[in-house]
Amino acid sequence: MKPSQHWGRRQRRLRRAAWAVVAVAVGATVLGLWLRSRSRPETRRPGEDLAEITTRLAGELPAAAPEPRFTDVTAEAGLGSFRAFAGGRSSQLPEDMGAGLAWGDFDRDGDDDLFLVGAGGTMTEPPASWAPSELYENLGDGTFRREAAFPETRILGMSAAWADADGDGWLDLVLTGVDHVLLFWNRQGSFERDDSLSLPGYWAGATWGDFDNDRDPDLYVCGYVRYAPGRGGSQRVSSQYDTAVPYTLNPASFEPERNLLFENDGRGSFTEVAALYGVSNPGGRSLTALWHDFDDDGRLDLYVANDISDNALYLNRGSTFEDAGLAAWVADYRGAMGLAAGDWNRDGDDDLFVTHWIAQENALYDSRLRSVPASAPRPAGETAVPPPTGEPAGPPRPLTFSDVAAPTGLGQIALQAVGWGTEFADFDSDGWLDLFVVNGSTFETAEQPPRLEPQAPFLLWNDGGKRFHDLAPLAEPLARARVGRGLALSDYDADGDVDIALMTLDEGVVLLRNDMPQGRWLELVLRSRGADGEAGSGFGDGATATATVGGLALRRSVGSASYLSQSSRTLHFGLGEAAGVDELEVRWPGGETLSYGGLAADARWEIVEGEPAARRVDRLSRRERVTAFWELQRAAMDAVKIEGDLPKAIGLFVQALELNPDHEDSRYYLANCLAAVGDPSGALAQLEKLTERNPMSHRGYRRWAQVRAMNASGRDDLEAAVEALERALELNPEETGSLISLGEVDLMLGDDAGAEERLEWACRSNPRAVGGFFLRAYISWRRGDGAESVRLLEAAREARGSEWKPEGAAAEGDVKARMHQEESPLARYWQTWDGTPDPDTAFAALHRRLGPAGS
Amino acid sequence: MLEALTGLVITFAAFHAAVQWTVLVHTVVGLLVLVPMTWYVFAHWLDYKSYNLSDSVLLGYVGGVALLVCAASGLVVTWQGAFGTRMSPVWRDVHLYSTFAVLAAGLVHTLLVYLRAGKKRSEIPMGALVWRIGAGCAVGALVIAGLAAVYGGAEYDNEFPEGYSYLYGEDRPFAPSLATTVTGGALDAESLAGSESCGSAGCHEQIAAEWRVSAHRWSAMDPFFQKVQSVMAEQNGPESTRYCGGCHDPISLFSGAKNILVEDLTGLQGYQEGVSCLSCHGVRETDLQGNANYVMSQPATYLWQWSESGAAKAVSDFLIRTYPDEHNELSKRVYKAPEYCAACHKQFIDEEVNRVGWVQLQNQYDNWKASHWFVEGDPTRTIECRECHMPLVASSDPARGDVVDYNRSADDGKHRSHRFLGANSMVPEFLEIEGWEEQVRLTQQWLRGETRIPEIEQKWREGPVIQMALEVPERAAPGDKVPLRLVMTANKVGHDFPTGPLDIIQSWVELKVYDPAGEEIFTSGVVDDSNFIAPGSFLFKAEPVDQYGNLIDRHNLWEMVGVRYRRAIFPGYSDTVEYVVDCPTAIAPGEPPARIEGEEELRDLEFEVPAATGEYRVVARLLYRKVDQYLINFMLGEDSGITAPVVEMNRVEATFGVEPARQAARRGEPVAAPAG
Repeated sequence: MKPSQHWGRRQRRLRRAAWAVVAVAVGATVLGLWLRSRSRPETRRPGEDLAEITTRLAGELPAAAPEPRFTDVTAEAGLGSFRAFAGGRSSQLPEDMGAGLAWGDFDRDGDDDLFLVGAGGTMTEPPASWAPSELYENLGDGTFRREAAFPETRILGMSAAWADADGDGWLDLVLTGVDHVLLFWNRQGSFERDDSLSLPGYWAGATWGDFDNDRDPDLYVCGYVRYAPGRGGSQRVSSQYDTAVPYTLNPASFEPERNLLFENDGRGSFTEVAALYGVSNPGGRSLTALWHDFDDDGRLDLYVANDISDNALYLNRGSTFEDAGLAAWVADYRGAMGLAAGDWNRDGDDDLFVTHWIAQENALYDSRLRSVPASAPRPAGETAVPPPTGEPAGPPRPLTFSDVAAPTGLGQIALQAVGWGTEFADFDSDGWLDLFVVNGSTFETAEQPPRLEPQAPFLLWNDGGKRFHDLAPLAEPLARARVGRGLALSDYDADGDVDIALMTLDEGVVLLRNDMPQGRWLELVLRSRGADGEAGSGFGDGATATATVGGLALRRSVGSASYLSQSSRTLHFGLGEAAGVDELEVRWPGGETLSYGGLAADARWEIVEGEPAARRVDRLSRRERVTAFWELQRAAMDAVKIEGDLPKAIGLFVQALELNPDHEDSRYYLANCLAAVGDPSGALAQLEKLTERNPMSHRGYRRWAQVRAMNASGRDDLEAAVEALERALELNPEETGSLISLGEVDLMLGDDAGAEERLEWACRSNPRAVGGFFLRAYISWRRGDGAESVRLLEAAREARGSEWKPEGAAAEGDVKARMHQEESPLARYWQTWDGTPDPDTAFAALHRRLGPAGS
Repeated sequence: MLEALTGLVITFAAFHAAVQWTVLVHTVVGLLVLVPMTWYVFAHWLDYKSYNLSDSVLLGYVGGVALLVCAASGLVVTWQGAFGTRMSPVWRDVHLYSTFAVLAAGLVHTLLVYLRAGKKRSEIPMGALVWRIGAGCAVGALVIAGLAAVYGGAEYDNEFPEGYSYLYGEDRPFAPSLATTVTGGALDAESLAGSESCGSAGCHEQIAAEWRVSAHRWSAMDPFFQKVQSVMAEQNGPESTRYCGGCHDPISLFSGAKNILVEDLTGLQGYQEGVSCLSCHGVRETDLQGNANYVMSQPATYLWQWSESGAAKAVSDFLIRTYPDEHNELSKRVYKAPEYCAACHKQFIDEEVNRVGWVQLQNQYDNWKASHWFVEGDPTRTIECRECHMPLVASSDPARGDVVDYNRSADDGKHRSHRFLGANSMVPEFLEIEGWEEQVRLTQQWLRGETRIPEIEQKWREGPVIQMALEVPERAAPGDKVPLRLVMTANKVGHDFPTGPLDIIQSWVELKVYDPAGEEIFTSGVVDDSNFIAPGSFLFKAEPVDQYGNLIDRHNLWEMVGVRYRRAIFPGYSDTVEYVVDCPTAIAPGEPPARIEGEEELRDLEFEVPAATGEYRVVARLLYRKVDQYLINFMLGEDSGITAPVVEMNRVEATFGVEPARQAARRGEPVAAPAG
């Protein structure tokens, strides 16, 4: 081997080795930098999730939680125009506390109507500027109509509640507010205002309850504070949780107001007996009171929610009330607003839920009447709540309650919220009572003072009696923040689920239709004996129904308070997957407990006290209603168009319109059928309803005018027809039908010039306007212009003839045979004309009809 | 060997997810073996280049060259599939045929060598070789089958929603529309939507951009359609809106959105895409009856076809380009036929809809067919739908060129515009669809007949869509009743002008006469402050009626049983409108001097005042708007302030002189009595 060769090979090896070293070095540097960047700790961010911090109380939403589908239907239901408060705030307490709303079937048509309390308006403005309270009739198709005849009432309104106070079978109404306790007597659907119970004071929640079991509703009215704005007014400032608020907004600034109990004599006369029975609660700033038989002794007890003062529990001992708040451990000192009662864990006794002011959590007072929570120590993380046993209720113990809000997930979530209206209801019909809580701050927004801070409500889904989970953030209509106050529940659309109405100071009423997936359900209407002993005239107030489903007892009672509000009297039972109720037991107020046999699910039942069996009173579900409507409507249309059986069609249209009163085609064809069978006034009435519901119904006006003109008995009728036709023409001046109709009626009124102008217009646009040419020919003939008359008659004949068109061409509107018939007062004269352009014979009959110078 | 087999599978097997996986495996394996195989061919040549030429050597050369060609062409089509917009069919064929050459030459070459090996034959491990090839192919097949089992492309939910109403019978789920599907059942909305994916990745971007602003695209989101649909659902039942869905909203129709008890009769995809790409390109059959009498298919999908980005999208695009036969099925010969367009551009109502009887509605097809624009068998004189409404535009689109279309070639560098220009200049602006300004400008140009379409200029007409001729007398005298005549002729339009729906569309003549001072002395067809055309105007439109003779004014076709009148011009035909204008005397009508009490005196006076003489100007304009004002008011409220834009389609002017009555009388012309 030559040295040079040897040297060359070494050099190559050296070079390769050098490259390898460089490559490894670069690779290692890159790898090192990458590893270093990975190992450097990140700076902590405020609010960062840390694995080491657990939130067991918050609770993970279980996978089985339902989707909280609710739809805001306020506007489409016709409630969108209601406003609770008019004008701006002048920072006075009574402006911020209202108002409530109340469901009640005032017109006895089987569905819940809705009374909305107007909270008034700026206190420094005159009452005439305040928002009025309004009554809305449920039309049964998911929409409401304002009852315009309800007496106009503008007060600083707080609460409302329905009850048949005079025993006439019709629900009367109480409405409270500052210086007002108003009764509205229901006189078979119309109302009469009665101021006799009004007295000065700041009157809040009013609740009906037959405490003396004499079968007439007595009335408890909460007095809030003795509001006296003069002492410093809103210029003085006090502090609430470090927030400076005007003195006039802090309830602690004012003395508590007493409460009132009005004993009913059965005929609607009242005596105030609160002090006599020891329930005037003079130390409480009371907002809401709930009549409920907490100790299961058949007598209504009374729980009073007081703001910044102890709540009170008055147990009904027959002739007296026992102040049992402290003994039962429910003399809650927090700022209480709303109340709800229900057996949330199905342990056989009714529990109590109380909503509170900000930073005070809400309270779930679990009743220990039938079962006592185990007190033994438990491993961390396990709830302190008794597991749902489903065991038959044990014998009653002395009544005590225990606040289980924190372990059931109801405590911490409410820290930032001011809670108001609340109710228990099984929103998904899974058999467990859920809760709804309306929130809304009493503080002003930082951004837009003096507007109040809106807050989102809670939909607290009951996870099998273990704990509650707020589903509201999962659904847009629920997650929306509002300045909420009142809450009342009802299955207003009778589809078997519980819907929500809430009252807000910023948006007025909000109606949230429940569209959640539902389990099986059953609804129950209780008809108790009235004060006069008449069966079925009462509304079941105070009754408790217990449904046994698969060995479990589900309890529901007629009566609610929420906050200043009243929910439906119809009891709703969620049955989960059960096909029905095995047994139903009803304890009638102050009376016996009766048992009823099995009832099928997915239906509404009615039980009349004294009758042995329940009966189904299903109102149609939305699906059933829609399906039934279309069946009727299609059958009616076929009766008109195919069978030509008008009486049959009329009957079907009437039924269809009962299900859908807004249906325009149904009403239009009904009117035409009525006109055709010789009932013009019936036809006119239907057409008037048509144009009332749709003021742009061109056909409604034109057809009305034609029917009126064809049945005219004098000038008044014709002039009314002209007016309607002019409205039709105003709606659509391009259309030639109204022009010809107007020409006809003008002619009948003797206005030849007016008629001629309109008919000529029609003929210029519409080359097939036979009537237009014919009547113009008549006018010319009557004027003595024979030649022009003949020319126009020829034009009329041409217009009536068939149209020429190229072979194979199709024109829009081609038909195989004429299928429409223009009906008008004079149409028969050109329809019967033989086409001969001879004015003397063509117009003989018409001239006899109109006379030498019109009608 | 695996490559050859997979290649044959790709070429000859029916479209299937497994075949698409085969394409991918074929591509990947091909790329992997490219270098070793080239090296092997080279080394093999080096080893044997000194051999004398013999048959097996010759075959070896042929096979080797073919293999190199096959590899090169494979590289080219892979490149085109991955980075181009379409695979060149030439390269694809080279790849295919070179494969056959490799197989033929290579197999024989190997066999010859093996057979002639003599004693050395035992040294060739033929059994092991065959076994290895077989095992390799089997593994490949298993891998492909496994991949196809794991992912086989988009899975569609072809089910009607729960509670779907079969009002017109279980076998006619889409009635009263005549549209149906190949299965007769529902089609997943996703499977007919996704038009954006057609216009991505350098593919049909031009066409998608045209379509995006076209009437086909917003056929469902059109607010007027939506409103009419909801009124129809309220008044005639939600199921009956299927009647509209076949043409306006096929995606929602076939997915079962038009059902009872639902909030939205139009689904999201249906709303956004209206007549989507696949709404036309998925149609397999049409019937001349009209009313959406077509059969919709659900095109087979490519793997990850609906992916919008990333590797999945790239794979999908690659498959569409390199394995395009199924994709090419989306273009059919029938799409060029006017009969195909007729499925939707021909409409009627019958007893099923109005419960009374048959009524013709808009029908562009039959009128075109009966007109002079159709000459059977003669493409030099026939002009079909697409030739006007889908003119050729310069194109870089993969779909450019067409040998099936007459007067075109495979490499004309053009595609047919999917803008579908017509007469709707209202909705693009109303919806403010991106590019609406251009669409409106082009539509106005279209309506005025200013659109140039070079490829049909020889057989089309020049000038405006509607020609106008205004006839006026040369001169008149004050107080004359001056006759004016306007003749309008359908010049360029291929069907009736205007064409329907004539209950909504309006075209009308605005005529004004100006005196020598420029004052209007006569008007007709003027639009008032409320945007209504004055009563007594000359209009092209129809007044359809219900059975009681009341106007169908909300497009409530379910009540329509006929028309009071309809006015439209057939192609090549004319319509005439006559006016009589009162030639003014000196005293303008309506302004009698206050001091004159009696009519007698007034009449005397007229002859003493000099007449308004001079040159009078007549201006006639043909105007067009898409939606009549009542319908707009009904839908949007009387105070909406919204009106349809008015397009001037044509305009003519004429003048006539007015001389004093005595002069006129002296010339022996009759003197009309002055208007009293």
